[in-house]
Amino acid sequence: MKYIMKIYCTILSKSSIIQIRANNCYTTVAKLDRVSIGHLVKNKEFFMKKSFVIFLLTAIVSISLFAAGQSEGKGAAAEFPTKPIKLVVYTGPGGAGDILSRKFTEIAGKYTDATFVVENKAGAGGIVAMEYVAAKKSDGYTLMYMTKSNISKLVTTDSELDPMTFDWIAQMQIDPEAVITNNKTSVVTWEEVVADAKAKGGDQLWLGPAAGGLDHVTAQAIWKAAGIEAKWVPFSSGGKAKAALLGEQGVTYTGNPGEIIGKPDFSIAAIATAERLPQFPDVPTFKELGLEGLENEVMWRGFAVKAGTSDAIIAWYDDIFEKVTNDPDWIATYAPQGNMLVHKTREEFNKIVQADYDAYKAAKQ
Amino acid sequence: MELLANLFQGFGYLAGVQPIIAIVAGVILGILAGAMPGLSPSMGVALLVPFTYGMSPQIALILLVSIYIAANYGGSITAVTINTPGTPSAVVTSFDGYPLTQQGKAGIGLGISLVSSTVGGIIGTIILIFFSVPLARMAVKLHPAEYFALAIFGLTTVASLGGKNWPKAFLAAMLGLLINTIGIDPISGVKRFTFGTYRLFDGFALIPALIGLFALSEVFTRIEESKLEKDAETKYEKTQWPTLMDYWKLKFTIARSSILGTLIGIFPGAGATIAAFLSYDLAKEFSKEPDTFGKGNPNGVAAAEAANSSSVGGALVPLLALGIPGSASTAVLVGALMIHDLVPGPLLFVERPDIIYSLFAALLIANIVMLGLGLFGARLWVKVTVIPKKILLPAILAISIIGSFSVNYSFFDVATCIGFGIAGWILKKYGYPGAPIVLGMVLGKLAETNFRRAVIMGGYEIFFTRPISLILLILALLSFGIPLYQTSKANKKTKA
Amino acid sequence: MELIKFLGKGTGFMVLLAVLAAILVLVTLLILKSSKRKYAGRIVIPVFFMEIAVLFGIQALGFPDRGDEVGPGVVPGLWLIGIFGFSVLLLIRGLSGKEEEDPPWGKIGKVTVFMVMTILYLFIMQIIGYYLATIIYLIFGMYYLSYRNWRVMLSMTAGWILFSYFAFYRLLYVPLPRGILFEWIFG
Repeated sequence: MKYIMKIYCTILSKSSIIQIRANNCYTTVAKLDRVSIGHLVKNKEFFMKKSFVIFLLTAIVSISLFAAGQSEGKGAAAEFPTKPIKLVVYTGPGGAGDILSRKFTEIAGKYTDATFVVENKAGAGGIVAMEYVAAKKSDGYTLMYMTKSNISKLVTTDSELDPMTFDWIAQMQIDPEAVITNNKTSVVTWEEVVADAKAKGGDQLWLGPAAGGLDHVTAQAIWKAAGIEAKWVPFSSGGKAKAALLGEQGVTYTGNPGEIIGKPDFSIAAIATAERLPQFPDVPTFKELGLEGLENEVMWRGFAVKAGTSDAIIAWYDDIFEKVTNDPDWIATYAPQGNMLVHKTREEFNKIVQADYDAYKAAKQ
Repeated sequence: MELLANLFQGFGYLAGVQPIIAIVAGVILGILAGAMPGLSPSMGVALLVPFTYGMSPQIALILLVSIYIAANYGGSITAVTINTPGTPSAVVTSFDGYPLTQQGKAGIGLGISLVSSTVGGIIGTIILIFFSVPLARMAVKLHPAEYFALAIFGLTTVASLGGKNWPKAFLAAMLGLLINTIGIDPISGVKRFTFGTYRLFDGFALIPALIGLFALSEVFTRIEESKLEKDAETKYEKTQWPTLMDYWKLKFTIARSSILGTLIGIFPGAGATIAAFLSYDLAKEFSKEPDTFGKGNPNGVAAAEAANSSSVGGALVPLLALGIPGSASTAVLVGALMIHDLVPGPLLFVERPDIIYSLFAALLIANIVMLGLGLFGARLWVKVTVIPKKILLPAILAISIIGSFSVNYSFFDVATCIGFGIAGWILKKYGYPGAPIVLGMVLGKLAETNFRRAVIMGGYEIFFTRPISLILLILALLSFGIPLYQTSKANKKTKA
Repeated sequence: MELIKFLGKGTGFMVLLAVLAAILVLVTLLILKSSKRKYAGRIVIPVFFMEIAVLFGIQALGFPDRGDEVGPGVVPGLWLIGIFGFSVLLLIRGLSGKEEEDPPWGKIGKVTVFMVMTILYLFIMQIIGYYLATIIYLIFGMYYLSYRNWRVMLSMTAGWILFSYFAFYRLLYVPLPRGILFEWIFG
């Protein structure tokens, strides 16, 4: 059977007339699909879908479709995209990154006819997904959701992947680091945390996720700036560390401001930004509290493609990301969570990534 | 009383076509996901989250918790009928469920697992409704030292699981614990035993390993024994179903296991599997004929199923009372709630009581719907035992492969599954049981991370200065020593 | 320490693997020639686990210490000591004849063929895609187990393919492998 298809393939790919016909056919099918299943759909496999009904016929259609897609991909990028774009997410379905990515595809769908297909490649804190994308072509059809923790993972695991294997095309969210306390205890404000630390003489317990991660590194920077000593108690997830803070097993939790929303037992002692966040007007910054060098300790989220993708394709993406950033739905969903919503394009974003990578490398030695 | 009024209101929210469809669909999908090796309850829930984007938050939540509840039961179906636990916690169900099937009493196993699940699920929900706030406050106080003691206590069940094969059972458990340390260390971030490949950064995934150890090794053993003809002739069609009297006899086991299961489910990170193992052990301790456990004792099935279903209610306690997920599945629920701009936590009771109380009502109704659908389904499931082995064995392999692929969409997981299958087959042949490996893999992280955390927080002496941890450790020592002592006594008797 | 570093990585690791494998083979051959022949499995398996403990132990000793109160190697070390200890116990029991004799080997050829088939299935799936590979695997598997009712075999296979397509691919969005071959053909 596969031989038959191979022959078909060769014939079809050489016949330009059929290619044009196929191209039209493809657009129709793509539109139909989008209407029926929306943007959450996984890869369309035209070939498999109908293999039980009319095996051969579908084969012909799909061969022509893919042939059309290929010729388009190599040709003028002005017509990008001509096939669904794969959005690779490094968490499993239902994770925070997955939800953000699906929200993005949903909103992007308002502004473009392109179909985004979310593909989950969980494992090894993003390394699996990054290796997967790094092995793809630089044709712009594979987009990857990235966060700063991917950078830290590259460093802590001694990965051979260079972050510049990717072109970091859009930074979308900045989530400042914050020191969170339990307001049922006597240590709530930053001054109280410092006083408590000095009283305990190095035995104050700070709770948070695994050692060497973003939160831990931030905590160490805070200790240094404040001239205090404390112990880092790593938990397997932020949620478990927060539970332990509620159980008064430690004094602070290092995380993001959005994590206290809906949980009245928590307070934010201080945040690591240059200015106060509009969503949390009562929360002081470290700068106000007299701690220098903690104006930009943040978690960021954004998107990257494989390096070497053509400028025209990136320009297309810039347009989409700009529109999504200004979309009311996007703002309504993510602004209340304590995020700063931004759109930083490749020049700036690539520099940020390189700086973060170098900082992690330096911290490791 | 306000609570009851609210609860009635909750039932009121469910009076409609949509909520009922959501429950029924959720229960059916949940049972199927649970029964499918490879789809654990948390994955069943996670995979359906994208469907709920377009629904109202109430319906979405109802659908997802129905799946969660039913998936915990669904795992027992394949555990009983083909010795292939669909979920990690159903491993315990297979200890006595599969021997029942081998004796031609698949109906008994299926009936008891269904009814115990339902009763366990309802008891867990009731505890959730009435005691969630104080219990959650208690749960977060549990110190890492106590978690460690709990994990060690869980490990001692190996002693009674192993019987006179205890050195092998312990070796198997140690192997499971060692396998669990493969990957990036969650405390220090150091790579351990990864042998230079990023594929091992997360270690071996539990589900594919579990499928390999149970399903594949079972298939290989069957093929080796080549009793294919004989089995095809055995007809289980006239299987008997449990009578009301049979269920009544299990009342204490079910009640005890349900309460224990809920309590263990509350502690973030413990979960259904540990609950099932401990309840099984407890049922055996209480039993007048502990020797019949592992050979088709209905109490074993009831204990395991009541415990793992009731742990659902428990796992929701910290989620609703504190906004902190207590299990993998509830972590997914948090994500699903966030999509609808709902943040789980105590404020939800004030801001959206409609959501909370319709959730409670849905949990109760989903259990009852599960009983109804399950009774109907059991008549179908029992037919699985009549399928000729020549067809069934390749089919089990195919199910196992797709199941382990679905965990992370990774071929490495499929290879893991096949590898564990071959290893499990050899080990089984020489009397090394597979269940302690699974127990070790489940308990490993809990034991290790909490041990190290506790030492950071209070030095080595902390395990003995905190009363709960000390009591648990002493209990562990006893439950470790007593079965071994009894076995050696029994050995001497047989020799004399 | 130098030795541990050498044996933990690269050439040293390979040498260690080769030595351990040689020991295992040697022990097996010795046992099969001796009077303990009937206990071969009972003896070889503990020896294998002791080797695993040594192999992993060397790795664990080489873990970097980042000044933690309990280092990353402590707990695995504990489990490894357990594995080694229980293996020694089982080895003694095997050597002293306290264990039962080895179980008889059944249809080992058949099992091996099935295992190889399953491994091949995994590879072929990546080349020709999930559906075709599964059809071949299922039909071949049933045929190999001497099932001959073609109608049942075909309907069963078709049913499974339909089920995996609808339940896994359509409902759960599991991206079942399309196969390198087809991806290559279709771009």
